[in-house]
Formats: sequence, structure tokens, C-alpha cells
Amino acid sequence: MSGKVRVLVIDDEEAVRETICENLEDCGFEMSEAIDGEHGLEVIQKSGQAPHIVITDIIMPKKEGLETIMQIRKQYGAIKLIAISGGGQAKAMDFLELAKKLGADAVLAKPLDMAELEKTVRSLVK
Amino acid sequence: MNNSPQVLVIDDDAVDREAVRRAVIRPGQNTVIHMAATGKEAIGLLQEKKFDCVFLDYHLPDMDGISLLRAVYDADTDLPPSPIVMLTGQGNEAVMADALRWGAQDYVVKDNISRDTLGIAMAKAREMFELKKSRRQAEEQLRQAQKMEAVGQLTSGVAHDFNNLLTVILGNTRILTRRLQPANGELSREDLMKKVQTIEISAQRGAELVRRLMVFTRQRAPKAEVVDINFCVQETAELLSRALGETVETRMVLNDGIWPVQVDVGQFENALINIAVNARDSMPQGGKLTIETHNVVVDDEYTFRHPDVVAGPYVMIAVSDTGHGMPPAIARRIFEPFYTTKPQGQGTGLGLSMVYGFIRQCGGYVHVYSEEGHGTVFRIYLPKLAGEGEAVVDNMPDALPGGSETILVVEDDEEVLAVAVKMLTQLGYKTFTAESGRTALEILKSERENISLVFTDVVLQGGMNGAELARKVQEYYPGIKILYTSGYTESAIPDYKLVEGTELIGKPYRKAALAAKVREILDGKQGETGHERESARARH
Repeated sequence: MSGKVRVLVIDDEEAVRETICENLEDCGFEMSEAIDGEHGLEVIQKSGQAPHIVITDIIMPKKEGLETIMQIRKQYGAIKLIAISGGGQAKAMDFLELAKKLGADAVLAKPLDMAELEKTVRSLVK
Repeated sequence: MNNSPQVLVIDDDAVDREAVRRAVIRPGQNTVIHMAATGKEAIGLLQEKKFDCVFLDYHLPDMDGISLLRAVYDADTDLPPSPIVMLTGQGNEAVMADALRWGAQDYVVKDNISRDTLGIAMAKAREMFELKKSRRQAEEQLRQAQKMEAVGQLTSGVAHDFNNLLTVILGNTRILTRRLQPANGELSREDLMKKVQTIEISAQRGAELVRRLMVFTRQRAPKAEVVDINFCVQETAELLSRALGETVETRMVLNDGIWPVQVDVGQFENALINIAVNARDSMPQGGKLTIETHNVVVDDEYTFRHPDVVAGPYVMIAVSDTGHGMPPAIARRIFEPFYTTKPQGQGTGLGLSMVYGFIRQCGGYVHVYSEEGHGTVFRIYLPKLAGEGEAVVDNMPDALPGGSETILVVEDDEEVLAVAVKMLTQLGYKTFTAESGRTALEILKSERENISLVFTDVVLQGGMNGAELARKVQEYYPGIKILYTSGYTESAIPDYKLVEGTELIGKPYRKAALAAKVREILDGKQGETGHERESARARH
């Protein structure tokens, strides 16, 4: 792939969002961020170049992750999707399973292992 | 191991001591009799050793029997350290009553000391003591189990929060580790500092979360303290907002100058969390949870629908959700023990009944208001601490402003309708009534000349809500004024478009408040009245 790989991070927790961005930036990716699904779709629409990868949290106040995944899948077939979830909710794993069924290319449970996230991102843009 | 019954006789008179000793010992039982001649000596013995029974003479050289009882009484268990039988003179009823009040299990008049009387008194004292002790223990266990259940309901949210904090800590650690390798280039001092600080802040937030959980789960005997309810609500709400999950938005409307009340803080937090967890479960798609505090003066009129309430000043804590609400059949039973609408294994049905029990113990009340599809409000009333601040008594009946106009009251709840009509009639008004928006419009068609005000509930059954009715009234009968009422609090009213410039009075309303509000609207005055907190301008 020529040029930098563009990654969009959607998470309502600012600290988590920043941590992911800083880590992946440190590994050479070009990062952008959004605070929820609605904002995320806006960012994709407004950017001249759609991201290669979208990393999205699942449970968010405005337009939660599953809905976001479905919509991105429908509108932007080329974008690779990684769903992340902090679990806790009784059926956290089910959420991630569901995310997979709805079209997420990979799912990761929080707390995130950044090395694993980096590996996942790299494997998806190969 | 010594299984012999241990009996303590506290009496300074050797003859009396001997009489008791003789009456207590039984052939075949190796009863061990301990003696104490002074109160001081007895207190020492009671504190260091358990007895099967204690006989306590009222007259002691250094103190009386009641003082001794009070010295060893444990308020948490409402018991002395060992079962006690008081020995008194003939006809001293006041002493007997005091003895029972301060933890003695029984009393015997000294003239009646015999094998039988002391034998019976001893058996009774031991049994009552054990019963009370085990009941207290069971209550304490139930309370703790209940609390742990509530915490259990919160753990999923807390775990979610921890995973986020750990993600931040681990993520920043990884950057630092990577940059420690010379090949990846060094970070500036500033960047280094920023990362370390982020890690520290996240770890501290985790520690704070643990602290709050620990405070909440600490086991201790309930103790009523004078507290600032706003402070308690704030402490709990912070835990709640993190624990209820991201889809539930927690809002607080804490009014200034809230009167002090006397409650056990732990149990109050427990009550709030219980109600909040129920609220969350009624909002599977997410929603708003609003916690409000108000000073309210409950007058006799408030007893409409709530005959159990004693009039007086209270601090009211309202917890509203925007969930699916519930039908009256469920709302009526919601505080019953073991009543639950949750699937088996997901709720014991004890949560809200414990809330009810605790609040009644404080001399307070808890009421639920809900309409299907429109959310639920729990109102907790805690009595204002006596002698603190000045209660506003503004319900002098003959001082209430009345009138002779005709008011159309629209309300789908028969009881509430009856009370509204009664209040308005007492104030001199004539009334028409309708139980739905449609009926109201029919009445307006024929009585438009007579009716000056439509007083309508916002949430109405039968296809037309109060806001829709009001819009029609404004369109067809612009001269007729409108006053809304709602069981939802001002901050949590369902999101209807209320007609601009109209006003709302919150249910339950007091007669004084209704009188003032109705007069104000009929006279065309705008704006809020100063003393009615639950009324507000309709908002968009």
C-alpha cells in the first residue's frame, strides 16, 4: 500500500480514543478520531479520502457501534472494520460476536492490547 | 468446656442474694452463681463474660438498676450483653417499663421470688434474648445480601469502566516501552511527562472507583446521622453515572438550602442505587435518569391517594427515568417483598421492598408514579430534622385565593379527578369534568361560554394527550386559559410540545399551590410564583 494507512477511531471515552490514536500514530499510521457513530460517519463523509480502517467502540450514547458498523458496511464496502468493547455488559462477548456477524473484520475486547491492535490493523491492510 | 448454666446475681443485700441463689439452683444442674454487690463490679463482669441469665436488683449502692442497664445497653442490637431480669419493689411500674426499654427481657417483683417465678423469668429472658439476637443478625444479613445484590447489578458497568482505564494505562505504557528502544527515537521531556501523567490520572480514577465501591459495600451497623442529602446524592450519583452504563445519562437537579434529615447514609445510598438500577432496567435502549432534591411541605390535602402520610416538612428526593413505565397494577405492587417482573434469577424482588422498609423506618415515605410508555418517578420523602430552619406554613385555609369561574378538569385518574374537583369546589370554583381529551372537547362545544380555564393532565389515555388538547383549545377557543398538571417532575416531564406561555403544576399539588396558580392564570399574570417549586413554565 502506498502512502500512510489512514485509521479512524470512534470511542466516546476521550482518554481511550487518544491512547489508541497516539499508539497507532507512533507506529506510523495516520489517525483521525470521532466521539460517536454519528460523528464518525460525518468525519468519513467530510474527509476527502475515506479511512482504510475504522476502529469503533460498541456501546456509545449516540449511534452505537453495531449500528455504525452496519451503516459503514453498507455505504463504504472497502473500509475494514475493527470492533472493540469494554465488556462489562452481561453479554459483552455476544456483542462482539454480533459485530462480527454484522460485518466487522476483527473484534477485540478491552482492555486493549496495543501490540495486538497494531498487529490486527497491519493484517487487515496487507 | 463448661456447660453449666452461668448466672450473675447483682444485689448488695446478702439475704436477697441468697434468696435468688436458692431459687435458681436446680438439683442435677451445676449452675454456677456469680455475685456482684455494686453496679461498677457488675458492669465489669458483664463486659468480660457472657451469662445465661443476670438478675439485677434495682437498688444498688453506687447506681440504680436502670443506670446499669443503660451503661451496658447496645443501641445497634437493642440488647444488653447477656439476658437480664430486673428485680424491683412492688408496684414500681415506671421502673419496669424503663427496664424493658433499656434492654432487660423481664422483671420480677422481689416479694414474689420463688423457684417458679425465677425459673420462668430466666427461661423467658433467655429465649427472648436469643430470638431478638438472631432476628437482628438475620436482618443484618439480609441488608448486606441486598446491598451486595445491588452492587452485583452495578459491576458490569464498573468493569466496563475499568477496562477503559486499563486500556489507557496499558496503551501509554506501551508507547513508553517502545520509545525506550533507541531505534524508535526518544520522546521529548514534555511528551514523557504527559504520558506518565495520563497513566497516573487513570490509575487514580481506578482507585477512586474502588474507594466508592468499598464505601458502599462496607458492612456496618446502620446508624442514623444528620446528613446533607445533596452531598449523599452527589456521592452516590458519581458512582451511578459510571456504573449505569454509557447509554444512561445521569442528571442532577439539587436545590440549595435543602433541610437536614436524619438517615443511615449507607441505607440511603442503597435505596438510591436500587431505584436507579430499576430505572436502568426499564431503559434497555438508554435514556435519562434525573435525581432531584426539593424541600416540600406536605399539608392535609396531600393525603389524596396517600392517607398514610403525616403532614409536615419533608425533604423530597425524586428519581425519574425515561423508561417504559409500568401499568398501575404493577406500580401498586412494586414495594411488595418478592414481587418482581424480572426473569427468574435476575431479581429477588427484595430491592424495592427494602427501600420501602428503610424509608418507613426513617419516618419517611416513598411513592411511585408511572404511566406506561412515559417513564417512572420515585419520590422519597424524608422528614425534616425537627427544629432545623423554619417550616413554611402557607396553607392557611382562609387565606387562599379563590374564585367563582368555571373550570374544566381533564384527568383520566378517577381519584385524582375527585380530589382536584374537591379542592377547586372548596375554593369557590364551579367545575366540569372529563376523563379524556375527546370528552373535554365535547363539553367545550356546548359550554364554551361558561368555561374560563381548562385544567388538564399532560399524559392522558384515549388517544389525545393534554398538550394536543391544549393546542385544540387554543385554536378553537383562544379566550380559554390552560393549566397543565403532571405526575412527572418538572425536570422529567415527557417530551410533549406544550403550548407556549402555558403553565404546569406538578402532582401531587397542594391546595394552596393550586389556588395560587389558578388565580394567577385566570387573572392573566405570567411567571412563576415564588413558593411553589413544582410549578413551572411550559418549555419547548
